[in-house]
Order: sequence, then C-alpha cells, then structure tokens
Amino acid sequence: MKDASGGAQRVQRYMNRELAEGAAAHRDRIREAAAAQAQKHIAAMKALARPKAMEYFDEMSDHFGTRAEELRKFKEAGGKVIGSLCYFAPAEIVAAFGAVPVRFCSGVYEAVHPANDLLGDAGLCPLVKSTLGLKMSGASPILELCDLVIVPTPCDAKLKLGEILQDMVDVHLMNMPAVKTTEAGRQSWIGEIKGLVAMLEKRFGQKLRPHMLKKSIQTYQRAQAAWRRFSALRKNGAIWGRDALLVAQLTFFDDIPRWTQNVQKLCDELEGRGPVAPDAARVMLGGSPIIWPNWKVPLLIEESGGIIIADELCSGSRTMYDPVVVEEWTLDGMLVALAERYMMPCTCPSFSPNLEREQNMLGKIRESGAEGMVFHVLRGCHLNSLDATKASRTLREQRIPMLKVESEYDEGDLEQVRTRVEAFIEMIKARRESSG
Amino acid sequence: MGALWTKAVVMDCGKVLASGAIRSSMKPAGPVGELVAALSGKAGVISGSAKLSATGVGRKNMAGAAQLTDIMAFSKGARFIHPATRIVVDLGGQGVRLMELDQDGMMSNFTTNDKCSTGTGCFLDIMAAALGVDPAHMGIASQAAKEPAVINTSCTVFAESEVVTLVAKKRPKEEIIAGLNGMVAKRVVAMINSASTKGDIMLAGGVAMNVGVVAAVEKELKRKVIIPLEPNMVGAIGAAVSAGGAK
Repeated sequence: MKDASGGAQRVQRYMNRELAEGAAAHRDRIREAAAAQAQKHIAAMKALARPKAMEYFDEMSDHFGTRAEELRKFKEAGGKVIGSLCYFAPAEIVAAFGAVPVRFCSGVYEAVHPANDLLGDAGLCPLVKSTLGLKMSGASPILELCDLVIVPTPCDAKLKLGEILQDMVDVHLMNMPAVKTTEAGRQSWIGEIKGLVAMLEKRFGQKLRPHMLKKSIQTYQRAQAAWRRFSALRKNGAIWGRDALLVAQLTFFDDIPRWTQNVQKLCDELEGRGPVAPDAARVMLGGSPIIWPNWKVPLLIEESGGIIIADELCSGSRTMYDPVVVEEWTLDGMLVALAERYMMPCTCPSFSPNLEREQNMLGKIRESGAEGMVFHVLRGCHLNSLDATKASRTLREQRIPMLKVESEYDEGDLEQVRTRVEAFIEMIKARRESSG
Repeated sequence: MGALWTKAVVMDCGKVLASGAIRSSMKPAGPVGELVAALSGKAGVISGSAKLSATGVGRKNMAGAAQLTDIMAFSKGARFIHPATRIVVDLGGQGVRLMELDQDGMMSNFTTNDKCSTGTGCFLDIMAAALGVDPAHMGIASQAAKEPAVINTSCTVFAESEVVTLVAKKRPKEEIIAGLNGMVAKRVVAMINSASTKGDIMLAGGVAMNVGVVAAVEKELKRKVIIPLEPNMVGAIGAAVSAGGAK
C-alpha cells in the first residue's frame, strides 16, 4: 500500500485494508462529534465572565477551522508540517528548519473506536487510543498534513503507538531515558536530540546552521516569557482555569509568534483585574494530560464551586513554563540547552526518582495559594496512577487535601466523578471556614 | 436520597425525633415530601416550619432544600453520633465510601469505590437472590456457618456464578453467605488499612446492619468498630445536622 504522499511501499504489521476501510467509515462521525464537543464547551466557557482576548483562542481551538486552513495553504506552497506526540520533542528544532511543528495528542472521545477495532481491550489510556484512531480514520485535517511524526517514548503506550503509526506515516522514535539523574541518562538524551537534528537535516536536505536555531529558540523564549506573565496573573484567579488551559493547548498547533502576541494582549486585559470567582475553592490540577476537547475534569471542578488557578500538566503549564537557557550560542551549546530544558525540569511520571515532581507541586501550590489539588488520572495511565500515591503522601504531610480522579474520555462516569469533585470542594470550603 | 433507599430524619435540639425510609424512585419529590410530612407529624413538628436539607444522588430533585454531598453528610453524621470518630465507612446501596476525620471532626480525606460494586448493598441483594434468601437475613444466616466458603472472584457477575456453582455442589447456604460477608469485609478492611488516619472506626449505611459483615470486619481488624443505632440513617442525620447550622 502506498502512503498518502505516494512514497515507498509500507510494511504493515498492524493495519490491513479491512481495518483502514472500517476506520475511514468512522471519519465523519469523529469529526462531527469532535466539533460538537468543542462547541458545547466553548459555549459553556463563553457563558461566564472572561476577557475579550479569549475570542482569538476560541477561534484557533477549532481543529477543522482557521488554523487547519492556514496549514493546508502553507503545505500547498511547499511548506513542511511535522507532527510530534509528546512534550519532549523540541519544537524549536523543527521550527528552525522553517517547518511547522504540531503536537497532536488527541482529546477526541469518538476517535477511540477505530483504535479499539485494531487493539481490542489492550488496557491503554484513552489519549493513546484516541490519537491512534484519529490517524487511522484520517479525521484530523492537521494530522493528515504531517509528513513525519516524532514520537518520544516516555511510556509503553506511546512506544507502541509510535510502532503502529509506522504503518501509516513516517515515524521518528526518540528513546527516552527513565533515569535522568545520571550522566549516562543525560548523554543518551543529548544523543537523541542530535539524532533528531541529523534525521531532519537528511530529510530536508539542509544543514542546521546556528543562526537558524538561535532565531527559533528566541521565538520560543518570547512565548515562554509570555506564558510566565500569564501564569502570574492566572494565580490571582483573574481568569477561569478552563480558559487558561485552552490558551496553553494552542501551543500544540498555533503559529507561535502570533500566539505570543495574543497571550500578551490577554495579559494586558487581565492586568489589575480581580478574581472572577472570589469565593471559589482554589484548586491546582495535576496528573495525566487534559487535551482539548476532553474538558470533562476542568469543567467539573469549575462547575462545582472551584477554580483552577495552577496546573502541572504537560498539556498545560509545562508546555511553555520553563525557559531554554543557552550558555553559549554555538550549535552544540544550543542543542545541549534544548536537551536540558525538555528533560531536566520535566516532571513526567515516566522518570524515576522524579523528586522534582513533588517539589514542583508543593512549590506551585504555595506560590499560587491553592487550597487543594485534584490529581487526574486517565484510566490506563499507570505511571500517573502510581505517582498519585506518592503525591497524596507528600501533600498529606503538608495537610493539603488531594483528590485522585480516575476517568476515561467518555462521559459515562460524569455524574459519579461530579459527586466526588463536589464533595472535595465542599471539604475545602468547610476547612476554610473552620480555620478562618 | 440514596441509590436504593431514601432515608429521612426529623431532628430538633440535637435529638432525632423521627426517622423513616422508602424505596428511591425516579420522581422522588412527591414521595419524599410525603415521607417528610409523615415524620414531621410523628415528631410533632409543624410541617414547613423546619429547615430542610437534602443529600445523596437524588438531592438535586429537592428544590428548596439546602444541599450537601453524601460524602460530607456522612462525615457530619458520624461526628454527631460519635464525636471521636476518625474513620467512617459508608456501605451503601451502590457505593462504598470511606471518610477520614481529623481531631476536630473535620473531614480531611475521602476515598470511594468508583470501579466496582463489590461490598455494596446491591451486591449482597443479588447474591441473596441467587441463594433464595431474604437480604435482611444475610447477616444472621452467616453466623451458623462452620467454615466460610471461599469466593475467589470479587466481580458481581462472576461471584454470582460462583455462588450458583457452590449451591450445586451442595455447600450449606450459611457457609456461602459467610464467604460473601467475609469478602465484603476484606474490601472494607483494605480501605480502612490504606487510610492514614487512625482512631475510632464507624461503619454506616444499610450493609452495616449485616452482623455477619460487621463481625468479619472486626475479626480482620482485630478491634471493635462503632455501629450506630440506625446505621442507614447516618447520612440523613448529617444532612439534618448541617441544616441546623452545625459544622
């Protein structure tokens, strides 16, 4: 079978014609469901007090709208769109070649069905199933523009997802070390970063020059600075957490300089504003990634009398919070700085001992004045489920309440989870009254 | 307003004056109103003059009543009944919940069974039906058992077929029931052991009226647990306490 770009024969170890046809039959339903889910959430978000500058992010959040069209034209004019499946693939490197990096971890519930047809009940998390189903069905216009997908391998599910995707698209795997505290781990990751550069150089037929990478890093540094300004305003409760998470989410596929401008505009509007919900329980959100339009948990928290004022999600704060710190603007210096930025501060549960995760949680809770933490675990995400145990111990020692919420993408457990979230918020407020 | 039963209490000056329960229904407002009116009459409270507070899954159907979650209601009810309670486990119709209270009686943590129905009233009802026994006799019946049967699986569906197999093998019913009660107790004890709070433990909810489960829990824990006079009323009492303005 030829791939979409008419390239060489692909060896298919998982896919076959029947599966491909079955998945394609899901395409329209997935698109409709994704659009309906997104519209429902946007309507709910618009119903509350929010800055006017959010309109830009509402528009760009549409997987089938403006941004998809821009990228289609970009590609038609000869541009390259490169996908990645995790936070760990440095977007700066892809962008340095003039290509557009997009991250397409999927939050679309309907897309899990084609993946279930292929895998049966493999016990994988819905994020991985949904992402696979999205590619199998061809439902995402942006994903279909990708000539190549970079897949870091922080967990078993992503590793095998990268393997299966090779039946459908070119894949470059990046081997993640699980222990990053050793020199061997660090060197191995630097090797992966350099390997990514070498692969892209070959693919694009172009050497990576220092000035190209420097310009790209600086573009992202401006975005990171904007996000940190936003985070400081956000912790005052001037904006709903569901809006803040949408802003972070758009770093997945938006034009980064334009995103930066719009975040600054949003900050200008928020500057000096008081909290949108002064009595709400101030919640920090952590755990498994929350990917648009799977807004179930943020909406539940904020509909139950809470407000998310900080997060430690790789789909939220972690995307842009940490700056790239370059000591020497040589090619080697920049690549080492990128390798360190994407690995060292990262609190992904794929690492051990991962002490920085608890420190980071406690630090963020103290700095933001959060009164409790909701730790979200996607069913099947064993690493986050295990880290939740550790987190609950750490937080308990500090007398900070924590609620572990295990959930799927579908809304079958919505009311069950709602009861628990409501009880958690009630508990926070009761504690506040008794101590005040 | 639980998954299977709706319970109500009338309280005044820190005393329970009347209590009662009806089966939960799809349209609860009418029947619940009648229950409250009947209990008010029994207690000599002028209907409509008292504060009304609702809890449980059906609470949002009660317009005009103050609301709190069942989790909060159980912690308040347990604290009211026995102020030294540090852990209260609600063994309800469709859920098992554990609430931890701090020294001041404030809830500090809770866990729920969000994946599995084992240990709930529903589970025991289904097993009672499979055995042809009145669910209310599941506790007493197990006390005659010489040796509890071993039930290997905790999934309701699989456990039911295991029970049917044991019946076919002519295993005495009381031993099967003792096995089931023991299995429920094991789950409850595992929840209690995973809580970091230590201190007085209360069992509440309808299943706490099952003496077989309670005995098995006490045996596993090697300590006594507190069983309120009306274990199924703890949530309702918590709601009433909250309506009265107590923390």
